[in-house]
Amino acid sequence: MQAPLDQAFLHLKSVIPPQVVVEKEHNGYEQLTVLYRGQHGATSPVVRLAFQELPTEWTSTPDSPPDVVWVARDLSPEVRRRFRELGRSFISIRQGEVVIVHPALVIDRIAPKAVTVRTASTIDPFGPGPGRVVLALLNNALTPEPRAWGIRELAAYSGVDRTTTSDVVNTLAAYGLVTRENDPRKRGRGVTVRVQRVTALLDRWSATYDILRNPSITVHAPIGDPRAFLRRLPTILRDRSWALTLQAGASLIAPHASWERIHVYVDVQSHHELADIAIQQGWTTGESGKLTIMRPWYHFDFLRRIRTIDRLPVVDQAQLLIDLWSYPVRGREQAEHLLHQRNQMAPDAQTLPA
Amino acid sequence: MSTSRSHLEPALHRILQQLHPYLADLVIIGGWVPYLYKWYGLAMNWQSALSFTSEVDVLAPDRLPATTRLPLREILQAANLRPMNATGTAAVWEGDVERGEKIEFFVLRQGPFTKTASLAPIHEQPGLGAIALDKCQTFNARLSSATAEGAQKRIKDLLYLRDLMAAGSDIVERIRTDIMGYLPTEQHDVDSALNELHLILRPVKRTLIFDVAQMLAARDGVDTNSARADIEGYLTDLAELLEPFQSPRVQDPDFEYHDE
Repeated sequence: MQAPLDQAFLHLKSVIPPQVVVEKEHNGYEQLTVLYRGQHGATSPVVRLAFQELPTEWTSTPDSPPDVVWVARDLSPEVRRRFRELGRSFISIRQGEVVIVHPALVIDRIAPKAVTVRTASTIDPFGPGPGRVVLALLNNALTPEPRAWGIRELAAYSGVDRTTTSDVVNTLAAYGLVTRENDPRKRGRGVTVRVQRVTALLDRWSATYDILRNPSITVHAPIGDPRAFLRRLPTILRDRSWALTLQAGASLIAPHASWERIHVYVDVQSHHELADIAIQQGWTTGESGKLTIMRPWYHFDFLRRIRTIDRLPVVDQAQLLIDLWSYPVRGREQAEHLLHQRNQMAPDAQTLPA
Repeated sequence: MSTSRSHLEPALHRILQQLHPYLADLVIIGGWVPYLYKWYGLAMNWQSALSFTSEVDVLAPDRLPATTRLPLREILQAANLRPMNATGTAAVWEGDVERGEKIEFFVLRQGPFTKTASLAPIHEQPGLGAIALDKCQTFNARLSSATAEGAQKRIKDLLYLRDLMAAGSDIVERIRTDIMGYLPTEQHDVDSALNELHLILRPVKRTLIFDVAQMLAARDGVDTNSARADIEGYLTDLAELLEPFQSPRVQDPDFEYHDE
């Protein structure tokens, strides 16, 4: 479900004239601050409203200062009547009932049924489209000097529309995986999004994604020493875009455990093209083969997300970490080693929130 | 083919003790070498499995004066080893083969290359012969087809080379260093070895690879496809190891590999 606070905000917008400006000032998990500027521009008073979710197990009508707007998914008629009597501001999402009782502003309206409330059930933040936002956030968190991204910059960087970006961020915030903070550069008009804990994000992400998501074939390529085979791969896969992942890729960045299987993403349009590669090379398929070639499930921006290490292409850090995180053959161990190495190289102030 | 030599090691010790007066002149070669390296400290991080035959292969100089020592023939006879060639000179001597009591003498071939294995005398050692060994004999494809025994030996030799390349980076570096030490005097042999490797790895000549793969599959308990990919991989690694040492003539882009 989308956060109730965001749904309540949409209800408020739907019951006021379009020329009235309302905007989110600070969108946190527990509180949403809304600025109500009125329809007369600079001469209109600014009303600051604090949207707060009503505790599920409340026993008595809560006291509250006049700027607090209680938000609930479904308030009973009795409760709504009681809140009105006491002059409390509230928004009951299911009924679309918006009641604001403020010294400078009074609203008592029902949101039109035409209002469509986007629910997070339609957004899987780790899906192949929205996942671009998560990859961008994680890659940013892994850089020595992470940028302070607002929704607009994040949307532009990840190539996802702003609404989807916002939905992804809201969902991640609801999971407690990212924080949204006021952006001082924007004088109260924007937030910056940061990954709260890299490992928590990877844990949540790996619940819906693992390496098996990528269409793949495993082949008996002529591999003796796998490192020697890596040196031959650029010739074998010439004319194609490709990148190493899992242990083979990680070994080029922070070698850890010994490894013998090689996993390669190849920029192909279909699974059949993977088979074509195997046929061209004379490789037979078989699960005991040491080379797995995959069509990336996160196919977008594949070329942009490749980096070159020792003249070999490797996927970006976020893709590498999420591939490793749930890989059964010492994947988590290798991923943690990468994070550890990263932290050791980073200045103290930039230590990852792992 | 067993994968453990340990039960044969007492026979090896006994043979070496008997040969003690000559040990400074002899070099153990073949399948016992990785085992000895692995268990006696020179390559204790040897990573690949080992295969073997029970005999002890010994490289001898083609002239080996007895001087004050007993002749080798008498030493071997005293150790209850019998010559496998009843008349003339014998390169192979056997006792209880099941216990590992078998020794084969080799010498490096002198003179022009021939396509058949031949017996050569070890001068000043009456009754003792040796198989004349061409340094690149292992790689020559035609030798293998001469006899079933020859074919089997070539397959084992290629598996042995695979095991060397799979033994780990320390061993591979040691091989690289050894090859550098052979140059420039042994340039022809390095070129020949590389030539033969390329022929073996050519797609049209993969039947030999398949035979080696079957032997590896049986020894290590892997499927044949995996074994074949493994063999091709490690022999390709060996070819790449040799390539920087090939002579400029072979590096010429117009040069074509050919069968001897």
